[in-house]
Amino acid sequence: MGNVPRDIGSGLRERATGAIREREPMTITDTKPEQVEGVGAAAAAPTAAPVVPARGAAWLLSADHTRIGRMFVGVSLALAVAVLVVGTLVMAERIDTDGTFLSADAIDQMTSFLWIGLAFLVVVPLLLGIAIAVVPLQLGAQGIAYPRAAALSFWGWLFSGGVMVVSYLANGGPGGGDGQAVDAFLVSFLLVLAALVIGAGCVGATVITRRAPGMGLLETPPFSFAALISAGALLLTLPVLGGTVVLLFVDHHYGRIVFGGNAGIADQIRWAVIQPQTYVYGILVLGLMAELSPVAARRRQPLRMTMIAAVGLAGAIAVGGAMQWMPTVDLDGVTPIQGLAQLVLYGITALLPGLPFLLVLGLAGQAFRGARPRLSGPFGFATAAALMGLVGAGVGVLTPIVDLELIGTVYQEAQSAYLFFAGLLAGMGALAYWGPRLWGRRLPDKAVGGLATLGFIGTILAAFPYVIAGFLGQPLGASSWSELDGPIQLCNIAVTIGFALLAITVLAFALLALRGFSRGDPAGDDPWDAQTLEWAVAAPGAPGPDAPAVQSPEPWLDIKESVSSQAGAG
Amino acid sequence: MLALPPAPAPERQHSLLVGTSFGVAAGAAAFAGLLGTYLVARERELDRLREAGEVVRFLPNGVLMPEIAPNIMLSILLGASLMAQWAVYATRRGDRRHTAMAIVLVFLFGLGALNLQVVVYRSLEVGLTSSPFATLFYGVTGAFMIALLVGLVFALVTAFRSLGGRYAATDTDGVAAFALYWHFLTFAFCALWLVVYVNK
Repeated sequence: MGNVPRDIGSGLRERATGAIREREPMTITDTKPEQVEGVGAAAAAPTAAPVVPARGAAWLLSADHTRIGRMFVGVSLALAVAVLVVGTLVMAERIDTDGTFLSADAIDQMTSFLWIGLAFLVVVPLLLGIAIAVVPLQLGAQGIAYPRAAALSFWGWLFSGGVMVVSYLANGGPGGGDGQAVDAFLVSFLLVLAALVIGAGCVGATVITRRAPGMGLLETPPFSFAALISAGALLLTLPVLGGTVVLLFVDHHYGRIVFGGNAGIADQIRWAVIQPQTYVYGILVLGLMAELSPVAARRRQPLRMTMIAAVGLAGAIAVGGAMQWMPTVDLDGVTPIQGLAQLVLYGITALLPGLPFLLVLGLAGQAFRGARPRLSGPFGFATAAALMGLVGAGVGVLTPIVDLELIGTVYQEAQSAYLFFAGLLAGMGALAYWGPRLWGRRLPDKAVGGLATLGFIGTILAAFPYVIAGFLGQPLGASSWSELDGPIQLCNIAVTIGFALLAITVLAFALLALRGFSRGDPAGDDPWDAQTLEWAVAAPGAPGPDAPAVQSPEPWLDIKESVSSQAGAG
Repeated sequence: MLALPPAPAPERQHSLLVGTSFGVAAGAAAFAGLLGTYLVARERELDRLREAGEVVRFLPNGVLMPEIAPNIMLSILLGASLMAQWAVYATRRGDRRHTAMAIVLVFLFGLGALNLQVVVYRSLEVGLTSSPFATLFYGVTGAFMIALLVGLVFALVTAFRSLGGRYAATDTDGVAAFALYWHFLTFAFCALWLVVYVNK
């Protein structure tokens, strides 16, 4: 199936994009086709000699979604290493209360940076960047909707994220001691959220408006469908946090009389990095697993609609849960109606989030029944990510039960770590999978598989010991707790090793990607024997032949099967 | 070459309308966050007053919340919403003159609402840092003022594009997006009116 003529197709890409542009006036946020680098630039066929911008300027001014996505991915991977190093230091600090090597202020700031950074400087932008780069290709679109807004999203995130890091360094995070730096943190945090929301809006609008003719919403590739669901969830939850941050800034900057000054900030924004909000960040983990499992199994996904429904369910549960404080279950002294209400909310926010992970993993297993699978490094990452997401959802089942006294302990950190690191593993897997399409070169599969294993072990070590320590009562963020010895000390040692392993994994992956995508082996047009439309055009980002008419959720597989059958008949 | 069936005719993209819908959804969520935080902080302050044995009143002593201006503001925004929908109706009928008139009316109504917000500020006579109420009040209503200013710019842009002939009976997306944004503003103010002005 690999040798498919590249001149097949009936002009769908042209019809999908060019024809529409002829009929419709451009909106103020559209980019002229000739201004889009890569696919659009070549397709536009300029009549005069084009002005080629300098290499740096080309990236700086680019509205090409593949470049924007790659910039998002590159910066967030670099930040991931920094955040994980900080995490390693924070966890190491908890090992021994006598030998503290960080000041109390620094520990608070670093702990806050660890979780806020993981969410908004690493996991969300990493997955968003991949979606920005890949989703338009999967849909057979010429580019992303609102390309300049997508560029604004990246540059806005980069700038405000930089200010946020500086404000942390200046003792300005939540609870920080420098008032001006705390103000800078709040403003930059608001801008980071705005940038991510804009990026999510671009991805969501692309899926809704830029699908190739014949591709219904339910026929979109699972990753793109998950990107839409994830975008919707981010659009509905991050602005809520933004609204809170606005009031926090007004209060902190002017009076500090409502929320308790610096110390009160963390209480108001903590919900963004604990369950059930963490499930919002895990939706694309499901999308990647759903995308890669039929490719690895080398067959069409059985019960595909159930897979799509599971992704949709994940979005509904995540948003439904995030719209309220984490409900607790405490049936002592409540009326039956109150008890029932507690149990219903508990079911939605704590029991149900695991269901989509179970469904997607189960259906992935179904795809492998009787198949001749081709396991790959990216699939290893995707599987590890989905498993960690499932375990994280399982861990979250117990958190709200008041009698277990887990709220306020490191058990909550364990739950967040599972989901965040699932997102991180998924991001690396997605990069290894779509890298050949974006750069034209592929990473050595054994090395990727090895890193997936290392990341998997690192995640378990970084999260699971805190499940035990949570039951033993270790409080959240405690570095000077008097009982940090015995089994709890062992847990803290294991978590420190886990964070260090993850830092090494991300650093090694980043270096491997840097080398592999610039000097690695050429990938060919269809290195994974894939099924979806992004592989139907020549890599990387070249105009290639027009994609075929979409008649099923696996259009590229349709073509390959059709060519094979014709060759057989001939 | 492989013969493939012709793809169906491409549908209109409605990019602007979809993008505005996403923006409006995000805006609504942001106001939910603002008002939710306002209510939580208000409840906490009232609890503090109860525990301290003081008069349980969120507004500072001697401060009366203006009622007429916010009510007129609500009426004006409801009217603006109606005018915005009239603009969509007129565009669908290809009536450019009425479209422009409706959009200009929305702009003027918006200016009126902005003016009334300033009237509220002047009549309250409380400093931003004088009490928890003041900080939260200015934070929430200030955010709404910014959203209103965006709406005014949106109205101006839509008016100029309409006068320039960018919209037609078959292409109403721009005007529909503009109307959607003003419906959002009205909806947001309704919530704000209930939470801040009615539920004192």
